[in-house]
Formats: sequence, structure tokens, C-alpha cells
Amino acid sequence: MKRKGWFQVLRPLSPRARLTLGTLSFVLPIVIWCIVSYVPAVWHPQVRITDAGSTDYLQVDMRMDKAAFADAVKEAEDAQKDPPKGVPSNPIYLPAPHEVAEALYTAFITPPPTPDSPWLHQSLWHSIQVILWGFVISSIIGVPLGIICGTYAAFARLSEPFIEFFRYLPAPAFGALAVAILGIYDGPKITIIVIGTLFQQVLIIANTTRKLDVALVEAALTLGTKKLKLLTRVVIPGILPDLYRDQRILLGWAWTYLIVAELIGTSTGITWFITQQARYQHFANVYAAITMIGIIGLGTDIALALIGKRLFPWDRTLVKEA
Amino acid sequence: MNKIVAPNTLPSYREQSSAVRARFTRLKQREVILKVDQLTKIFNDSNRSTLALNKISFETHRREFLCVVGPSGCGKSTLVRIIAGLEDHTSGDVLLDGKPVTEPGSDRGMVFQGYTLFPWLTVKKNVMFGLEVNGKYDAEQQALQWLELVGLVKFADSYPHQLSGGMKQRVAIVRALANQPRILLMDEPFGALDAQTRCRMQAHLLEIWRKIDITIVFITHDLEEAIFLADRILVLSAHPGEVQELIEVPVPHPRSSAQFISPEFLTTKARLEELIHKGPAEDEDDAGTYQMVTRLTDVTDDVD
Repeated sequence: MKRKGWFQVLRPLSPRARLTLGTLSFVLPIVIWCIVSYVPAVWHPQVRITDAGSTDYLQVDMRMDKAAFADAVKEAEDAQKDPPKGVPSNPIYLPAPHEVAEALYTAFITPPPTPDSPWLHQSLWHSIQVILWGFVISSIIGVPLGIICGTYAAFARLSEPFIEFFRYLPAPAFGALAVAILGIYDGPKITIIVIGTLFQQVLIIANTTRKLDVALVEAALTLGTKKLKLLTRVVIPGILPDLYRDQRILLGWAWTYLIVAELIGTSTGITWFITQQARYQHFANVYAAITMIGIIGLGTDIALALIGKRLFPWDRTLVKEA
Repeated sequence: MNKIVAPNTLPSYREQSSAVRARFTRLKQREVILKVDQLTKIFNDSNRSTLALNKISFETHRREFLCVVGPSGCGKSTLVRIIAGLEDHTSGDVLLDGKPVTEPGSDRGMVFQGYTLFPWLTVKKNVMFGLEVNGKYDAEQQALQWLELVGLVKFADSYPHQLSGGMKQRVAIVRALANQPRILLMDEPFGALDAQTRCRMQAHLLEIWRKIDITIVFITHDLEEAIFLADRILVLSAHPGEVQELIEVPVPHPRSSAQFISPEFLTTKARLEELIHKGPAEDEDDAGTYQMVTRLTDVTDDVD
């Protein structure tokens, strides 16, 4: 039987196929975006006015629906006047790739609209700090609690049913409460991220801990390991690579709560930037900011994955993953 | 020279040469290390209870090599886990040096079938583990000496995943021995190894056992392995697990693979097979089904 090609069940790909497909996963969406943006026959439901002609209610660069534009042209022609001219165009909320690429650069060098509002990089840095604090506080509570729940069944039974209940409560629902308690600045934002992350964190890490091979614990027991040493010398080192992987996933989780969190109280950070730009209809900037979040998120994850490989040279699951 | 002997001309497995008899006399004069007395284990499920071990009694003397064999489901693994303290028993006593066993401890080392080396520690650190948790000095020095005993010094800084199965099990053995336990419990330790490696490991284990003061309780389902290694073989029956016989192996020491076809070896093996296959074992159910395989119509030639 031929055991090559892309459709082999549960078989790893060749390095070349991995690289090709990995690149394609980014290239394909961009190609689709380009087609929608640059091929006038695809979609383009509106017309961008290039010449108002004789009409007094149209202006250059104004966008309008194709049907309305056709009516305007017909009206002018019927009146024997100069008809307006225009090119097919997409709605303003879908800028072309080159506009977003340009915005990615110019957004950083454009000074803020008012002198006391932050530059884009300051907004981003503010967001990153909110995420990090939320994640660190969540981890300080969640990681030890998760490990203890996974190790001692009694602890798990005492806390997990309640946590299971609590994790279904949407974190943003606590926004108003958080503002009432912690004020309108970063306190409630960090709180939302903690609430969004912590409960999942405890359950995921408890499960990871429970997946540790019991035989390793038994081996340690027969070597004379007792109580607390069992936890510090067997359980924790044994789950460390998986714990690290969980933390990577949970950090991504924290990012998804960022926008909602930053809307609470006074809008700050990248969310403030996005809402500002959307208000002025600078949608290229909006996409640029969203892209920025993606780049930072993915970049952090890749960096953490590489660090993980260094930290845990014995870990076999990382070999499969990379 | 050994020669193959027809089964009906085999001597009784109870016949011992004078050297073997003298050896057993000396063995029994040594102090009793492990005494298992009327040991019973009942597993309680939610709706029914199963009698796994029923009134097991035996003794092992210092530096004895005891093998435990029995059909699958005889509870031999449960027995060794109870001795290790990993499982509690329902009634009876397990006494190590006269003291009852209640929990796992460093006086009973154990080697598992699945190696159970700590993957995050190097080979050397694995061997040091027991010494360190028990607060021993010069753990590193001792670990290296133990690794030398099994010829793995040059792998001291490797991780377990870089070793072959046989090497891993050697590390597991010295990791258990480094604690200098009174008794070494081995639960089918070579079961996952290929036939050649298993043979080498058996010889290697005997070599280690000769050199150090250790008593071994070795669980296996491989009868030849049991005869090759053991001074005495404890034969269990299944459902419930009960002691059928404690056989004194008449094969003289030192052991070598040439003895596999000696009369003493073959008669012991015949006796073990008789004991283990006499009950309503699963094998017999299987034997019936083999007869029922019908010849497929498109098979036109014979292989035998």
C-alpha cells in the first residue's frame, strides 16, 4: 500500500508538506481577501463616485448602492444632464489588503488625535499589561489549586462542583459589579480576565494532573517517598510539560476576554484605539489593530513553544507537535 | 552433556542431587525475611465482592530467589502489590522481618513491567531518587557505582527515553536496589522485552543477585523463566488465588541457559504445566474453538 500523500490517517506529514500546508493556511485566506477586493466582478455591491457630474447631492469618494447609483445616472440622463461617474467598490468596512498593510505601518507613526491620548504602541502596551496581570493573578490561584485538586480527590470533590457551576457564568456579566467594587480603571478589567480564565484553569490543570501515570507515583512510593515529597518530586515535575502547554492555551483564552474587559469602565488600550478608529470610519486601522492582536498572540505562543522545548528536553509530546 | 530426555523417563521433580539438597538446607537455615500468613484479599465492587486471594501462606529466607507463577487471574500481581504496601489486604498478615507491612516503604523495592522510570530525570538522577528522598549522603557516588554494576555508566546523563527497553529495566532494577531494600519485588519485569533481551536480562539479574545481599520475589507467567531464576516456585491457582504448591527447583546452581534441556529442568516444567493447566483455564476454552475453524472454500491446497 502506498503510505505517502496528504490523506493518510494518523500519519505525520513530511517536513516539506508541513511547510507548504502551513504557509497555505495563511496564504489562502489572504488570496480570497485579495480576490474579493481587487476583482470588480466579485461582490463589490457599491459604487464609489469619481465624478459627481451634474448632481448636487453626490460627492467624490462617496459610496452608494449600485441600484441607487443607477437611478441617479438615469435621472441625470433623462434630464439631458451630465451623469455622475463611479467605479464598483466594496463597502467601507471591507478595506483592501494593501490599505490594511499600509495602516499597519502608518497607525504607529500617526500621532494621536489629541495630545493627551495615547499612541498606538502605548495602547497596545497597556492592553498587554492588563492581560499579563489578569493571567498572572489567575495563575497564582489557579495553578496550585488545579494541582491540588488533581492530586487529592477530596479537594477536587470539595471545590470542583462549584467551579463547574461558576465557569458557566459569563465573565462580562460581572463587569458592573467589578466597576462598583474596583473603580473604573484597570482593576475591573483585570478582574474580568481573571474570572474568565481562573475557573477553566483550575479544571484543566486538575485534569492534566489526574492524567499523570499512577505507576510513577507507585514507583516513588516503593522508593520510600512520603506525602509532600510525592507532590514536589513526582507529581509536579511529572506534569510540568503538560502544565506548560495548558498555560499556553489559557493565555490565548485570556486574550479573547481582552476586548470585553477593556470596554468596562473607561475604554482603554487597543480597544480604545479600535473604537476610536471605527468612529472615524478608519476601518483599515481597525483591521490593522485586530491583526496586531493576532500577531502578538501567535508570536507569544510560538516563542513559548520554543522555550518549552528547551525547558523540557525529555518531553515526547513536544517532539510530535513540532 | 545434557541430552533431551523423553517425558516418561524423567525423574521426579522432587528428586534433588546432594548439592542441591545441601543448598536448600543452607537456605532454610537463613533467617526468614518475608512471612505471608493466611493472606486474604477480597475486592468489593459496588454490587459484588470477588475473592482474589484466599489464605495465602509462605515464607522466604534471606537471599532466596522466589518466583510466583499461576494462570492469569490468580492474583499474583495483587499479592506482590500487597507486599509492597500499594494495596491493602482483607485479612491475614504480611510480615517483613517480623514487622507487619502497612504502607509502601524503602525496605521493599519494586520493579514494574512498565519500567516506570521518571522521564524528567536523567538515568543517574533516577538512581539517586530513592537515596535523596531518604536523605542519604553521597547519592551521586552511590548511583554511579550502581550504574557500573549494570554497565550503564556511560548513559548516566541520558534521559530514559533514549534507552532501549532492556537498559531501562536495568536502570529500574538498580534504582530499586540503591535503596538497599530488604526485599526486591518484581512484577513481570521482563514481560515487555523481546525474547533475546529477556534471556540476557535473566542472566544479568542472577548475576546481580549473586553479588549482593538481596531477597527477590519475582512474578512471572513464563514457566521457563521461573525455573531458570528461582530457588523455589510458588504456584498459585486462579479464582480464587490459592497456593497450589511451593516447588523446590532441583536444577543446580550456578544456572546457565544450557540447563534448559536438563532432566531436572524438564521435569519441573512438566510439573508446573500440569499444575497450571489442570484447572478450567481459558486455554481450554480456546482449544475447543480451534477445532471449529472451517476450511474456506477457496483454500484448495494443504500446508501440513
